[in-house]
Amino acid sequence: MYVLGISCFYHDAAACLVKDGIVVAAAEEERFSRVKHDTGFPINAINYCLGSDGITSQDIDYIGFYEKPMIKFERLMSQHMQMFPRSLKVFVESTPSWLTEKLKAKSIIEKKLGFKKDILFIEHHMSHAASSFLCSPFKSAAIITVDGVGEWATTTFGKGEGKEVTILKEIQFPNSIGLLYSTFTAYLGFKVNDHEYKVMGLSAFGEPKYYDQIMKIIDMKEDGSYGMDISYFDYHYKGRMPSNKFIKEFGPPRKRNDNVTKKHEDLAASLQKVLEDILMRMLNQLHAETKEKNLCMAGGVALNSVANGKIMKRTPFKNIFIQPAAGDSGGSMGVALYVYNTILGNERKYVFDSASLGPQYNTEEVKNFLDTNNINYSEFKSAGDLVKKTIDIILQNKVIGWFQGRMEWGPRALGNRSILANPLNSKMRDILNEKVKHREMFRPFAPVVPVESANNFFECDDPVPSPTDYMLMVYPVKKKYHKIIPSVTHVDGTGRVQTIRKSQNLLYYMLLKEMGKRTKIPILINTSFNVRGEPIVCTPQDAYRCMMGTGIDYLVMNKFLIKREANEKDMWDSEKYVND
Amino acid sequence: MAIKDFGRGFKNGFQEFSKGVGHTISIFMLLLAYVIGIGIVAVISKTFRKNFLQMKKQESYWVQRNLGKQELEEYKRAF
Repeated sequence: MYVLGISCFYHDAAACLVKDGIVVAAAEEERFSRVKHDTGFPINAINYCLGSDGITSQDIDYIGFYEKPMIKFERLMSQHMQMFPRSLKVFVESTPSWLTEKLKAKSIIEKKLGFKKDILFIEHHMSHAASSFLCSPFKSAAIITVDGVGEWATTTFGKGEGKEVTILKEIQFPNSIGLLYSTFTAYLGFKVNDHEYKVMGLSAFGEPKYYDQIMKIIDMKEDGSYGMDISYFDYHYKGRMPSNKFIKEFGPPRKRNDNVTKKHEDLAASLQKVLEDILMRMLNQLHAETKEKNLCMAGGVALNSVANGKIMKRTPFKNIFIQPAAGDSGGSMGVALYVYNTILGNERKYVFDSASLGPQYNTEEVKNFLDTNNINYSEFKSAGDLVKKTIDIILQNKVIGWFQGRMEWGPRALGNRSILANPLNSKMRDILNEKVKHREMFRPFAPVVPVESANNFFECDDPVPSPTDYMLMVYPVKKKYHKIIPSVTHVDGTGRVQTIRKSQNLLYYMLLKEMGKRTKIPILINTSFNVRGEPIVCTPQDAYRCMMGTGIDYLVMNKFLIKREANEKDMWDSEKYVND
Repeated sequence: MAIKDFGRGFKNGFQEFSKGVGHTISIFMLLLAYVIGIGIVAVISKTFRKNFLQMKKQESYWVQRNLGKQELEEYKRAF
């Protein structure tokens, strides 16, 4: 039996194919369309999912859609009625897309896929909850979902048991810590629904001096719920997020190209602390109500790795699970599993243990691409040869584009579409920024380490929780290593660690082991294989184009080594990519 | 040649003009829907102090759901 899950029309459109209860393919549309956070109908991701198992849309038994559009529309109309006549501009701007697209999800799916069987709709936060619990290793768990907003819900408490998921209660729009974080993201001059992680990175530089000022806006209750003084916000009826009262309270907003000042750092630090305190209070309440030792999390806020890294220490939960696409794209996986397990009543068979669910290119396809385009390359003799030479190059402080196996599911590159570099070099952060990433200096680079070595270098929870495999937990770097791995030690002494298990990605694991053998430090810098403003690369062509347009020195693609300088400089200019 | 160019230019211009007219009509219709559809309900609701959004202080902000598995037919609806 095949179930296809689809999420789209808001942000991060994606598709996921479940075959007899097992996730066989999943991908975000942006990787194919090359439009970052593509919201459109994910036809390319769907075609990839179907093609990966050699089926057509006629072979699908059910399609699941990740939310109930009519309920969302009802909420929007409620906003307009509440805010009449001040919501006129937003009404005129946003209603056409609802009439032509969002309310027509069913007919669009039927038409684009020629699909005539059942299309099932489940609520947005149920998709989130299912995306975490139904593929978790737990038989039962407490579930929390937190994001900007779904239909009405912005935060939910739930419980998973066997193949059932129950949403127990919810906090509704306009009260939303996700939207609070996004409002500050906008206020600090970053892009909403995209750059929240930059605010998180910036928070390490500041002091939470504005904590009390921000808490003035929040009405936190003993039962874990929270409300917000909505007069500080405009997001419920305007195209902007902070209100004039907010600006009066915190001063003029930072413009996109303005310098980041100490005040911005302190505001980011204060916001992060507020988020963590609200989240921890909710989690402690959730534990008290469910008495569960296992926790599943989903929703955009579950991507806040700084907060996630503190959960095991600040709550009684013993185990935690978050899958890497915790945001809206993951809703496609949630709805597909929910249809198969919960609605149709089939036993759970799938535990998420690898993000490698995207397209892959075999040796012949890669060789064909290289030969067709007259690209100069050499071929490694064996996996051992590849690993040794790659570490040779990394230790010469060169930057490597690493393209192997199936593309990752979720927003992080986890060793299949990664840029790798030497973390022992104190200048590597500057080198990477200058050559490739062009990103803000306050943003850290992430370390990757074999799971069994993680606790030697980082103060991880013990045992290391599985979300660390997906770069979802930030932990302190042990003090004695701050100066040894400076490029991956953030200003506050933490690192956004990725752990890797041998069973997940053997070649990547071997690479780290070789690094350890040569330097006693089995750690590499792992950053996503893209330039700022572009989605992560998907195809060999994307990877080659990215290398030739930037300062990446070598590309290790399948069993081939391509040196940038050995090839004619493409006409691609890396600066053209930098558009965010 | 000149007639052809004129014809092409005229066609393009006319297309742009019709797009503009279409856009204007859409905006007009949306304005009408906003004033009549949203406006009347909003005014009546305000008269009866009905709130569509939870914007006031509460004892608790939790809304009880207990939303579990439903009948298959429920999931076929987009609402």
